[in-house]
Amino acid sequence: MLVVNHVSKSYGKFEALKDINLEFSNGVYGLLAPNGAGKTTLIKMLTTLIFPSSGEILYNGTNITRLGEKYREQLGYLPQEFGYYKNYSPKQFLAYIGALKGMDKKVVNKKIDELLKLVALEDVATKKMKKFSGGMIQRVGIAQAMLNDPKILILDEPTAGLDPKERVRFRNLLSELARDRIVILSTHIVSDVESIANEIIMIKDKQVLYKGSIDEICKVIAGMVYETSIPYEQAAMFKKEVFSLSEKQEDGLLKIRFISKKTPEPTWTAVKPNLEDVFLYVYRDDIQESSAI
Amino acid sequence: MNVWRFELKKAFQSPVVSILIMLFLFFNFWLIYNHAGIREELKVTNQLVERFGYKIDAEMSAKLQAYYQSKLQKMNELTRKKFGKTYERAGDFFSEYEYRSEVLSEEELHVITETAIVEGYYELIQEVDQKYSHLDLSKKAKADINKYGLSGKTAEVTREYYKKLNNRLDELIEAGEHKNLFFIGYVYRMHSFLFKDLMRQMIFEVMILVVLITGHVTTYEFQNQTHLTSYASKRGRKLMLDKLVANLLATLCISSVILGATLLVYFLVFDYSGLWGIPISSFFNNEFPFPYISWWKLPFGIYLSCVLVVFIICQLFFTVITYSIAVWIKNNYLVYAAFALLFGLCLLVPGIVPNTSSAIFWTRYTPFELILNPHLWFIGWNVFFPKNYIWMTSVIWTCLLAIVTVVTFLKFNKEQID
Amino acid sequence: MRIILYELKKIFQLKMVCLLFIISFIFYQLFINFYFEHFPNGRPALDLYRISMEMIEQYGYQMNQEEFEHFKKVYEKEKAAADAYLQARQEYVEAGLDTYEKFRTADTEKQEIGELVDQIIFVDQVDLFWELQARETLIEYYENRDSLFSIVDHPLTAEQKERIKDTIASGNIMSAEVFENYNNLIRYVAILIIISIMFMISPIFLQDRRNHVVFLQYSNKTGRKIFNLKLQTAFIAAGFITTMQLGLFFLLYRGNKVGMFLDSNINSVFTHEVFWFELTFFQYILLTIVSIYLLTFTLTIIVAVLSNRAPNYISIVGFQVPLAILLFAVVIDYLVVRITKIGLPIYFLPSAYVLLILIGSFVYFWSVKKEKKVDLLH
Repeated sequence: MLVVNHVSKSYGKFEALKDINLEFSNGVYGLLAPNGAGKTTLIKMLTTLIFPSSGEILYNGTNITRLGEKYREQLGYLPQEFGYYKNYSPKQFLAYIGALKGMDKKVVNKKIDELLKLVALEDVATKKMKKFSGGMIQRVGIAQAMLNDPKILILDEPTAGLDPKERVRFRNLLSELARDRIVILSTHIVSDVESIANEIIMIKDKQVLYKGSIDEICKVIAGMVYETSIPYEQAAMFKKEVFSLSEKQEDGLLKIRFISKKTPEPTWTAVKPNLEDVFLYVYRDDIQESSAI
Repeated sequence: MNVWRFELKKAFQSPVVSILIMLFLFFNFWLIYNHAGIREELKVTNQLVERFGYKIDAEMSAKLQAYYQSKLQKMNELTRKKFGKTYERAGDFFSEYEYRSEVLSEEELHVITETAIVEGYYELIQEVDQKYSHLDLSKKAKADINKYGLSGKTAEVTREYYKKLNNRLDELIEAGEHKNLFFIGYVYRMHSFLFKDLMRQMIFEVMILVVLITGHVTTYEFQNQTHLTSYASKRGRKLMLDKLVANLLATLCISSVILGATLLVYFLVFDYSGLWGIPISSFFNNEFPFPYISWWKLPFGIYLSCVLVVFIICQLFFTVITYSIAVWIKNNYLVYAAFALLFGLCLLVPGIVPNTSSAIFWTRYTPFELILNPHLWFIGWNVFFPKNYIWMTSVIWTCLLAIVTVVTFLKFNKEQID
Repeated sequence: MRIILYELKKIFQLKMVCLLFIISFIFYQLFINFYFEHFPNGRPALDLYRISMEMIEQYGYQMNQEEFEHFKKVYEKEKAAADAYLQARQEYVEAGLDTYEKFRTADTEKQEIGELVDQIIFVDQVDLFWELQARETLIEYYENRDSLFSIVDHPLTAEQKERIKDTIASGNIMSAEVFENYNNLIRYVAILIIISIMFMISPIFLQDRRNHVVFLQYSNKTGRKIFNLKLQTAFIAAGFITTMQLGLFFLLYRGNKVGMFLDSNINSVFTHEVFWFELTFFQYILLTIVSIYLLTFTLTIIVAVLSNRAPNYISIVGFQVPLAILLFAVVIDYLVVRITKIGLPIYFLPSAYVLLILIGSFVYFWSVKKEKKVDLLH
């Protein structure tokens, strides 16, 4: 059990995170926030790369800084900017990471073969990474994170660079892994977490805004999401009245999905809100906020 | 579009550049400060030139003699009063000087020192003709051939060289170029100090900065992972061209800062007023038995300007060399190493070429070899400093580097950037 | 240990090792080879070297007054041989150069006499005449041994006087050529080692930071211990580089054939050098080696820490420029070449060692401590 307890982080006068309280037990957590909201700061604290200015992070009741390598031993981490040596092959690089993870050499070698097969890189296992595509590099990154069979797996933007097929495979893999471990998935791609996350954490204004299952979070805007079709000429007027979520052209009309707190008009069809709706609504711009709804 | 402005900014944004500039200027000022003890004595030369002009002829010589006599008389009056003793030469006083310094006031000592310096000029002027008529360049040719172990063709070149230098020497004597006053080289070594110690130090300082900056700016996009965006922009690979321009501009900036500040202080400390028109081949500029013979008549001011021009040309060469390496290698750490290696190799080659091959001459036509002896630029010193040395090196390397740059561009234009 | 091996592999990349080889080769060619090829450097250096050997063979490592008289007698004998050599040659007798004394003091300004002298000395290079010159020099050194008192500029302290007196009394035989040659060599070798270490160690942290691998390193089990491990790796690498460079150097130095002088005391009227301790040449060599190791280890920490803090290559190289100037122009002269000379206080070298170790350890512990707490942002 990983507990974030009243954690704040500031750099000089700039406050990056304010009084964060979270609890993680086994399962997939989707950390959802737009860029610059403090996601990476939180993750870096969870991975001991930076330290809280106040508050503490506890793993099974002990401060992770105190646990030190006992904590990191349980940790698998894929940073947003995954670093690697161009002149190394995946095998060489994973062996190096294995040494850093303090794993036994024989165990590492076995595990490397396994993982490379899992991420479909066994054909290029001994080729230098210089010539790899972004997706291949990302898969090496995923492999290194899982190398020590971590109890806590933290993935910062893991699906960047993966094609849809790989993405699906990766999601399934995570769901399976999450049965007996904590998986924290940071992303701003909503569809990634929607299908696998047991719980969503949304951060706004340096604080945790919502934490709960997808259904719970969607309740925030339940009964406010509609769809309707209107002629183009009315679109500008209409959008001033409501908060538009998505628009697309259909049969010469504009089909619009929106949020409104007003009493619905007959042409509006109520729809079930999804996570993306919540995301857009929660992180809407201030200007829209004041004028619409 | 002033892309090069942004590139130029990259050159100076690193604090290490300004720190190094400060440090280097401090070194230069320190060197000048250490040499500044003689500045008062040097002023005597300016006074003499002001009084009699710098051209040495019979009339001037006579005037100087009279002046010297009056000085000596004044000095003897002083010494008679103080020590009850007169001297035939001011120099004689200084052989006993140590024991008397406490008795004399600053001012009185100054009178004697000044007399001694005037005496130095007076006595040396008597020697000029004899010194130059005794110069036997064919002997020097033999000595050089011996010293460097030359034979056959290279020995022939050496003899030819000294014949040429001899012609120039005759011409120089004919024109009386050597008969000019200047700071006494044997004593003060101002030529070596300015053009060897100070100038060479500055060459290396600017070179270090130039190489550091050029390597940094040229590889900047690759080092900062911005290469994909920048070389795909509208400006595209022409950005490399902007980088070249920016590097050359940065070199000019650095050169002018270092040269400007240092020379400003130098000429504030050492007074050259009235001496700017004196030829560098002046007898008084000589520091060794073998005189400085410039290949052309070069007054000090012109000579200094020429040296500065060559200085900057060399630095531009270093810029382009570093730039070309950097476009190929893209990792500036290795670029620095490669430049150092090239420097070493270029110095190494002339040393291992057999002495009988004329390659020992032309392998020295490199900017790296050139910058080792800035005090001998435009001067016929030995067989390795021929008349065409400077401009040939400049022309050859300009062409060579132009080709290298073009090839580099062509290569970069076709290169796969990933 | 495994991590250190991996890190060592990263330092000794093939590319870097090749470059180091080329750098060393060029450096040897430009600066060091000269002192191998030209040892002893011309004449009479060669003769001085030979006669010093002969003296050690005959008199042992010390020469007393009696032996000195013998040495002078040999000189006289050779002088007689030179007289005979001259008298056997018509042209020299005719020119009035029928004895060595006259030959020595001849007015070489006169062309014909100058040519005759040159013929023997430079053209024929008659060993006898060169040897005589060398013997004269050595006799002069011995006879004027009191001039040792003036090797220090400022007034002598009682201890310095004592050391000089001891040296004069000892009659130690050592070749100035050999000693000077070694000092020149070891200076350049030290410079080469410093350059090698700067070149190889500089990228150690910077590379991982630029690659962003540091995020992986610090979040893994090893965590920030890797900083310490990498510093240790740097030490091992520096030690290895220094050992290889010194090994190569001494292998080549054997070619200079100085074995006989290894047991000579370096405090000698013949080298005109006095040191605080009674060191043999071999002990002196060992001392310079120890100094080089101490210097390189301190340097290694400084370079490694710089590498950890510098944001890019221009900074790491740029900041090492003043460091290199300081080392080459000042530190080597005080800490490697002619160490323990009496010109400096007796406690200078030990305190310099202590200072080096203190600086090194301070920077080491400070940086390790600091790294434990640092926020890893970029």
